[in-house]
Amino acid sequence: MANIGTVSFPGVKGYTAWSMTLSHGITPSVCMIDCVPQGANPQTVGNLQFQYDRTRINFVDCLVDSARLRRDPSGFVVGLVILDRRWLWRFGSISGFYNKRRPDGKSIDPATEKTPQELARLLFQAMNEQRYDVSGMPNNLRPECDWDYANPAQELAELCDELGCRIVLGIDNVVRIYPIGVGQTLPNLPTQITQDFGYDPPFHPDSVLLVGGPTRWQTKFKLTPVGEDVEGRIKPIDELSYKPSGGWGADGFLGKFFNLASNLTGKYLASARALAEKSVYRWYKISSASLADNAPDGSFYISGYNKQIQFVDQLLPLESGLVQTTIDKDGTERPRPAILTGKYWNTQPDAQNLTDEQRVTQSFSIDEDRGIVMLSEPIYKLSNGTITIPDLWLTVAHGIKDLETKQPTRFNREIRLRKQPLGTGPLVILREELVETNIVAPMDNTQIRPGGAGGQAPVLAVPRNNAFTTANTAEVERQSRYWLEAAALEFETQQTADLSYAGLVPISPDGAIQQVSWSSSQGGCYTRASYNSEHNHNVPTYRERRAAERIQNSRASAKKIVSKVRKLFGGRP
Amino acid sequence: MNSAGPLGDMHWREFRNDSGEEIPAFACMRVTGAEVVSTGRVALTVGKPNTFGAQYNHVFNGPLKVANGKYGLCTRSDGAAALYDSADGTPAFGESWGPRDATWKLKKNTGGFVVEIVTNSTQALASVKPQPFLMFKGQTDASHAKAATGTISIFYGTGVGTDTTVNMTSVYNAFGNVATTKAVTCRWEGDIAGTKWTLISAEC
Repeated sequence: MANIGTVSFPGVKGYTAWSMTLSHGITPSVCMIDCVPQGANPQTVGNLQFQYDRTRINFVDCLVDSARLRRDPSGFVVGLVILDRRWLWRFGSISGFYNKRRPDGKSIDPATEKTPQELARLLFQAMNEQRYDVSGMPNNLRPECDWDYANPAQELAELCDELGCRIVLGIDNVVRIYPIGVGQTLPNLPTQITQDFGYDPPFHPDSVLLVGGPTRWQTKFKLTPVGEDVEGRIKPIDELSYKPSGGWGADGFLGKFFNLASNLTGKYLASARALAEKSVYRWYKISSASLADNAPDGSFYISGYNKQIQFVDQLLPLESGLVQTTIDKDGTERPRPAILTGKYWNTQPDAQNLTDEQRVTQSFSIDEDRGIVMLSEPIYKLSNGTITIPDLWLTVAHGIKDLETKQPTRFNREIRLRKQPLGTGPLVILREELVETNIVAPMDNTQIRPGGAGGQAPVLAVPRNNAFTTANTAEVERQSRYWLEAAALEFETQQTADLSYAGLVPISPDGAIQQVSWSSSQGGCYTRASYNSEHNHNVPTYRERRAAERIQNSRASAKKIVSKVRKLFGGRP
Repeated sequence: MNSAGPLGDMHWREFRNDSGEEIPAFACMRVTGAEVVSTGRVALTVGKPNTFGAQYNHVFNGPLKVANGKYGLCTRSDGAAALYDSADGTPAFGESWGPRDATWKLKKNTGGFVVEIVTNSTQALASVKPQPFLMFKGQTDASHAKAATGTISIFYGTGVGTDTTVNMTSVYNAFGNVATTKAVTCRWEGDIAGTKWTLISAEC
């Protein structure tokens, strides 16, 4: 009779067969024990131990997941399913925001910076893990982590996926993190029964494409006056239905309109006047952008973007401030406010229009979706007793949507995985926190016009569109290289091996040894281990397990989707 | 209503141009009355100045010219921008400039407003504040009997002053007879038909 390895678990007696396959990841591995019907229930949680001769393998804090009674030719058999201690990882929560990108997109807020190993330690602590080792994790990247009562095990698995690593529970009950493919070779023992060697060219694409968050520009736009018409549409003021027959020049001082279209009477006239006073000379929409600040309406040339911008909608929504940031008194870094400049009449009794472009003193807000500046007070020029359109410009942060796809422009870099492509298309990795910024019209507070005699206040320089932008591309490129290299690791062709041994062999999984199985029955006790592969087809593959885990984590996934939508529509996290 | 800047801080009222002609920007106008244009909307009516000097019934148009029959905004606030007649020279701080008959422009040595500063010499604009024309010195054009009205030549300047060549008619004499070419002082009695001005002193 073959030498049978033993299994012990509190309250379990009379076993006839057992098996366990220890695999990578956060999903607990399963030990199956067939035994005779027990007089009492086994202990729910306990230590699981295998023994063969003097070799023992222990797994602490295991959980009896289920028990089924079946009848086979030998009689009634109870099938117990016991999970290793990773069943505990299904619970718990962690909150924190780490590696938060600064609003200028150039760097990380140092108060939030954490290395991957530091993040992993936080996650293990939240999982109540005492015995873990993260020293094998690559430590150069700074992935942005937004945890809001998130499951720490799920977040740890996501982090490892991003870094090309695996979470491995060892037979010494220490949880380690290994880069994929890094580990020991399978032992060459006299008890070896079978050997199977090969190589596993991974099912991989022709290339990996890293895509960042929507690129941000800071540009100076010329503005054109618009108004709200009676049906609610926003139009150039010369197209408004209540425009006076002689044009707008004779009306609008202080935003008051007395001489609208002569065909309007009664309540219609009152409504038209209300709309004129609300919007005419107060609302100005972005209309063009160029190096000379005077491009015709509809003409957009933005440095750093070499495709066509045909429609203003490609630039919407605007943001509410600049790409450039400032540090508040409380130490918070925030985007600087958008800048409105112009040449206009400032209602001085000299009736002179400003000849130099200056910051507009009136307060304003920005309708970001429509690209409209809304002033608290009307603004215009004077010319020979009539009102004329002022020269106004808005310097603000914005994205650019592609003319064809209507999707925002994003930083992207691609690396090839095959010299001869097979036509698979790239694997896309989306990293929203990698945001390329281009400052076309910088705000430079160091350039001011000195104050005049008599205490006249100094005037800050106005922004100008430049042919060359101040961009953070070098930094984004640097970070993207790390992400691409980590992703490519998963697709390296690995040499594989699958060995089985007689008896209980204490082989611990690592980054290379992906599965170890132990089993015992009337036929004997065996160990089987796989190098850079998985041998147990009854166990879902690592990818299948990750997919199931992500579905379980649907709440966190939904939150990330909402966060991405907010960023797309408002530029805010 | 308000707007950033000095003119925006002033008190403005709506008016209708009843003068029969276009009113220039910053013109001095004579208030002729008021009307309820519609519920909740009251506008002054204005015409071209037709008297020497201003007491309380003259205002200044805003920066837009206003066609006949159309509406605009006017003000009488301190520091209002006013159109002046550059043929009379350049206004200086403290001088009296005011309306005269048949012109939209302020004239020198005319009561009604005192000059603060010329704000735009090219467009002949000055910043002024009200100084109601309530008293003047002059000279009888003919003998002026007691209890009768007569015509007085308006004089301006120090001492006896200089004849402005403008006459004030219908000045009432409540005192004794005054011979011709006598120096007199007259006072504004209010906008009462027929007895706006009264002699209050005369050379013997």
